[in-house]
Amino acid sequence: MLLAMLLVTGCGQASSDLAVIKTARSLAAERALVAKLDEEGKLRRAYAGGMQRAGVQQLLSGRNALSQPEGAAGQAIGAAAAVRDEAGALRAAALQLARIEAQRENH
Amino acid sequence: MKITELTLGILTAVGGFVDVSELVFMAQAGSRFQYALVWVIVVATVGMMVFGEMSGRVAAIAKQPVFNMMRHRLGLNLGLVTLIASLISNTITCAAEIGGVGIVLHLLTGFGLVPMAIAATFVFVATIWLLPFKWIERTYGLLGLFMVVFAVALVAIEPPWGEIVKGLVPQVPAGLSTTELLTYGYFAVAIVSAVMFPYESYFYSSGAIEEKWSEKDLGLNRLTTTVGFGLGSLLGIAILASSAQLFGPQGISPELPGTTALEAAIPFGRVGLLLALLGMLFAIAGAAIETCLSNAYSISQFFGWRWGRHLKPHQAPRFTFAWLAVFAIALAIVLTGIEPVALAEYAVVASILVLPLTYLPILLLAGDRSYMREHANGRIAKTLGWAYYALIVVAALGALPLYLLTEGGKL
Repeated sequence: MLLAMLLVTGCGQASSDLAVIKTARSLAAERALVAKLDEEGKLRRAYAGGMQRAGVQQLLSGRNALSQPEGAAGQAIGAAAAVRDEAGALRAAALQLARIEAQRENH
Repeated sequence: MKITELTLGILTAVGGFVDVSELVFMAQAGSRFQYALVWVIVVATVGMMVFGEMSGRVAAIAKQPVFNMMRHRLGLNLGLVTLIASLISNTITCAAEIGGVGIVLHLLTGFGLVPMAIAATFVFVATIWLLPFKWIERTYGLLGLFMVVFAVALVAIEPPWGEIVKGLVPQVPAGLSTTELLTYGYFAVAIVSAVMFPYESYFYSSGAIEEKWSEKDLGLNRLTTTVGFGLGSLLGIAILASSAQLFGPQGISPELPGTTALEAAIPFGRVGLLLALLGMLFAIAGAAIETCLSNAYSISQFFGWRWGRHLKPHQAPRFTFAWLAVFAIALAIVLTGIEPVALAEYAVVASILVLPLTYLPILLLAGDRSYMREHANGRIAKTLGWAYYALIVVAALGALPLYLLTEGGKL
């Protein structure tokens, strides 16, 4: 238990930021999938709207949880939140976040 | 034993098996680690069968509910610690379920999550107030069978069955980094906790006493816990496997509880989506009621109050106040704005810490011939019981460090 606490304290903010970025990447990809299925007429209006709103809300609160909300990761998350419900643009935002995630993991 | 009674018992167990934590963790586990955690679901389900069967048998033969035993077997102090820990973990779980119901209703109707969570809580209160125990259990359990759409959807997307079968073999995937290994460990522990939630035993054994089980119900008990829980866990495997197939390759590790419903929408469109949301709604709603009643059962049994839904609310006032208070506290937690997914994560970690204290008295009493006579644990039940006890102790020791090190499985 003590070891775990020490490791967590040692890893600090960097790993927290990575967790936020991973979550944001998934949220952007979830929004993209919802938008795609909605375009195909497979979803109900209430569902698609509710999922998109929840996705945007969580992306914005994720950005605020970053150590530097105005940094590259924060801007990418903000951009993913700003994209309207359009599958292609949301997929691109998810890919951008995946790239940032890979860079952080390789550091 | 009537066939109808047996079938209903099994179907109720199937429909009531899944809750919001399982929906979240199964889907995330599948997208993160493909089929490599299928075996954990199987192992945990067998554990739930073992302890569920024992708690039902103890209720039928010794007529002892879990918390009554706990006080006698663990002593007042340790019993009280277990009671408090259980109340906390069950209340967090209840809040996660209410939040989950609020989300599903929001996605079904378009009305706000908060009003939906409040409305759902009032419906739960009315349900418990008005319906007898058996009808509460059966209504939500049977309506939860809409969840079967997840199993049908898995068949429809034609998954790699060979890979799923390989997932039944205990394994640690090759080539994972240290962080990924820790995350794999966290998901394994979380799945064990989500499948073996302590409230399930409290509710099951208290229900057996409510329904006045006796020696003649032992067959029903065995079939409900083995066939019912077994079939229920197939739904969990279906959610995990569909997620591995549909979400993992797209970089989705479902963060929104509603995402799981897409598993049925992809092959079946709007009808699939509707069935999935209805299944989720009733399964989670059933779990909300079970967690709430479990707390009222626990506290009443521990302090020796009159309890049970077979009594009118005014005949068991402290029991009635207890479940009303649990709903009020759980709803207040939801109204603070904490995400239901975060609550589900806290619930599984809190629950796994309570599991060893929950199952020890059941294991001891089920093996005690002075209470259980010829129905005491035999060699197989004893071996399985202690093996699973060792497993949940290890899982409980690992849960908190793994949660902290992986930031709740986010790394």
